[in-house]
Amino acid sequence: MCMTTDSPVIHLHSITKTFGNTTALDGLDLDVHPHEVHGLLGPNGAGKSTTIRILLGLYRATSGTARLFGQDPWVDPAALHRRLAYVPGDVLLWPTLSGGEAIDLLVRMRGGDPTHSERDRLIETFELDPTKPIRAYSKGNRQKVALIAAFCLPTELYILDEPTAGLDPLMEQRFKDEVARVAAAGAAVLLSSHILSEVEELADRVSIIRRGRRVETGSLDELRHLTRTRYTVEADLDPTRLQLISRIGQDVQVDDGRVSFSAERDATGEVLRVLADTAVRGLVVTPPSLEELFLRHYHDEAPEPTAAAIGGAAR
Amino acid sequence: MTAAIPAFGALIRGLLRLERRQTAGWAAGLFIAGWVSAASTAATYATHDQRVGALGLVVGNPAFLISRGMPQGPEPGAFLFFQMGMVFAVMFAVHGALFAIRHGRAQDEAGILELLRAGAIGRGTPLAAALVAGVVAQAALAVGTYGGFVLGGAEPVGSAWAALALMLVGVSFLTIGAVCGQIVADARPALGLALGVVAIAYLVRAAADALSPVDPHLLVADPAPIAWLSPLSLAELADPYGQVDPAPLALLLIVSVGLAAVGLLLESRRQYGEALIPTRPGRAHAVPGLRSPWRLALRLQRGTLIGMGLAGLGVGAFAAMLTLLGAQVAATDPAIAAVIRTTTGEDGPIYDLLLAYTMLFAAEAAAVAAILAILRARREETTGNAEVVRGTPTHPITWFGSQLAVAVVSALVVIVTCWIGAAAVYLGQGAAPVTVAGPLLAAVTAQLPAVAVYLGVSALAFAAVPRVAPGLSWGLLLVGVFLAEFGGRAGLPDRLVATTPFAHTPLVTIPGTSLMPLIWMVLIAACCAGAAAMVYTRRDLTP
Repeated sequence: MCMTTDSPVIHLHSITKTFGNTTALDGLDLDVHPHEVHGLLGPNGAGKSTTIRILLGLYRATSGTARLFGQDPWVDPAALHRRLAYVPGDVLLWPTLSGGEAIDLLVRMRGGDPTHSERDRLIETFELDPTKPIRAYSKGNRQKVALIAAFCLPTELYILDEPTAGLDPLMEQRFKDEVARVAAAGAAVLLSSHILSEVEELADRVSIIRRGRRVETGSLDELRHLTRTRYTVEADLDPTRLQLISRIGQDVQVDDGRVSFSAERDATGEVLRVLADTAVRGLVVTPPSLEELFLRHYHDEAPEPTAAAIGGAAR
Repeated sequence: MTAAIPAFGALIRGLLRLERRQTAGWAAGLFIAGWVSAASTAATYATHDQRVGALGLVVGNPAFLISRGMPQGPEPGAFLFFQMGMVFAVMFAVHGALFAIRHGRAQDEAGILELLRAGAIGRGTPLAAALVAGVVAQAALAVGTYGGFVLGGAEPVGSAWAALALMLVGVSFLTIGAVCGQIVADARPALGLALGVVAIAYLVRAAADALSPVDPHLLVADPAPIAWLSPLSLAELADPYGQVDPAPLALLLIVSVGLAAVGLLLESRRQYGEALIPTRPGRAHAVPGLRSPWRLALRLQRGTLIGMGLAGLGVGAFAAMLTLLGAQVAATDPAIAAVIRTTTGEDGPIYDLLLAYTMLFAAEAAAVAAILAILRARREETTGNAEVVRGTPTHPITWFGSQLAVAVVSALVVIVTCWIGAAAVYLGQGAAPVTVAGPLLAAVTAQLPAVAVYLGVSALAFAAVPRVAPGLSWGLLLVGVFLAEFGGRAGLPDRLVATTPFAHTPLVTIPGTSLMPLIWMVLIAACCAGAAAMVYTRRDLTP
């Protein structure tokens, strides 16, 4: 298969993967285009890591078509891995090596030279002590080692499986800066997470998977309906205000001095205007969790992909 | 202050609860071992004359004492303790050291001590609780051993003193372990240090036994002064089955209390995570060669390789000593020659039989090293580190081949160090360099094909059935070792004994011996390895 500039970097079509009696992937589709930061979202156990392992040729798909840079990753994974960097989800690394040694080793195995790479800058950015044995590192520090080794060299595709697990907010921000840097340089990034807000800032497009299937895909604008905010207001609202609220928001529930509802993000100002000048005793605003989204949008037993309201990305 | 006493008790109870299965397992194992060794010693050396004969042989060849103990006369109990006492003492010592590290330094490393120290208890309380729980566990081990000895027919009062002496040895190493945990900041090196002290104590004990003159009539040793330096020797000096001497036992107790006090003092003065020797920072950069899965696998196996190499030296030296001594004794005593023949189970010159038999130890050690390397590869897979490496441009076959190569290197290291150890003993006994470079080297290297079969089978298990590979590999090796060592003696059918590769290693030192079995075993090993590589590249990564 010949690669053109806009043929997808990653193309999975109706992939299934079974382990004994359990079905990890059940007809999964996924497309990631060049120069795109793609968020792969799903709750724990949805099949994110399995998807990535099939992409890397670490697992063989039970059926379906998998293409990485237009080629089957199972056939010659090593050749394809020259064009990508991978950070697995659960990084333990080697307790007896120092962080610096592990970074050098991983960079060299990717064919790079650590001394002529971003190594020193990244070690400083992520505030890592490279002389410590990995045994003495916290989970976050081990994660940093894997991330530094990945970002050290320029490449075409970065596959990052739950990369911010264990990072503190400051380090998470530095990680986002690095993703933005490699994306600006033209790389594609596949970023898996179970937290919607984590990929919101970075991703151009998002695919949501559940029980081994893709249930949504599209740009964040297209998925805007998913990012409604939930308000819980402790106040005795008069009927006029309640009426206004039910016009702005959905799922309105009134319960003895407490009103809860969901509203689009754009409507935040309107919500606040309605609530101004009333005796609000308490206000809780929560972004939707992925689990809530699934409960609300797909119900628990509705694994059918909803192609509605999604642009050209739907199959 | 008022909360401290209940907390102390709760900690001890918690530790004992955590340890209940392990302790029960050790006690049961020692019970069976005590029973078997008491019963079999009583059966094999049933008469006074037999025991006098066996002791006389040892007095004439003090090197035999290394694997026995200090002669305390030919009475049945004293003879049993002479034969088996030190084996049990080492068991108690290892248990004590393991226990102290597991509930001392390892708790610090795992962060559990952080939690405990945050409680309303003194800084030294967790270690004090660990020591008390350790003493209770040692008591359980002593009860098991006592029961086994008595059931096996040993005299009860003497057995009680023996169990007490063994327990005090264990407790002394419990406190040594507690101090070692204060010296280094990581559990593994701390355990290495504590087990190193066990090894030194064993060597001092062996030297003391060899240096103690034995009265030719009473067959009782007059202990050399250095015997007072090793906890293991102190158990012998107590003479549990004879004129019980409480002084060495009291010394063991005093030393234990002193070491416990030192350990607790250090523990209550150090801050969390600290040790007397601070953790050395590692290298900021990897050495230039660390750039491939092969070099990584070699690096990860480095510590094990050094340990197996040292073990190889010891095994080789031991095997050579046994061969030379056995051949020498068999030449003058036809009864012993007959015993050796039943053990080695073949016809041929007694020296060659003995050499082939003792070099089995080298083969077994090398097989252990090879399996350790293969199972390290499995651990790389379960920890997800293999995934990290396979995510780089590393072909599956490259990764797998690297693991196999390190297993081969591990086996070779053991074979070579065994040869060096054996060669040193041979040359020390005045053997010609030609013998060492010729027949001895041949006898050692002839073990490689059998080792290769285990390597190949273990690799195939890792590739085909990764989840059960550890159990399968060790199980097959255990069965093979048992059949090779005891199959002939126990009168098992030849067809069963023939299933172990070790039984097929020919007596290469005899001219004209067919080498076909070696070629067959190499072929089988190669087929297994080839199949393993093929299966591995076709299977999913299996964390």
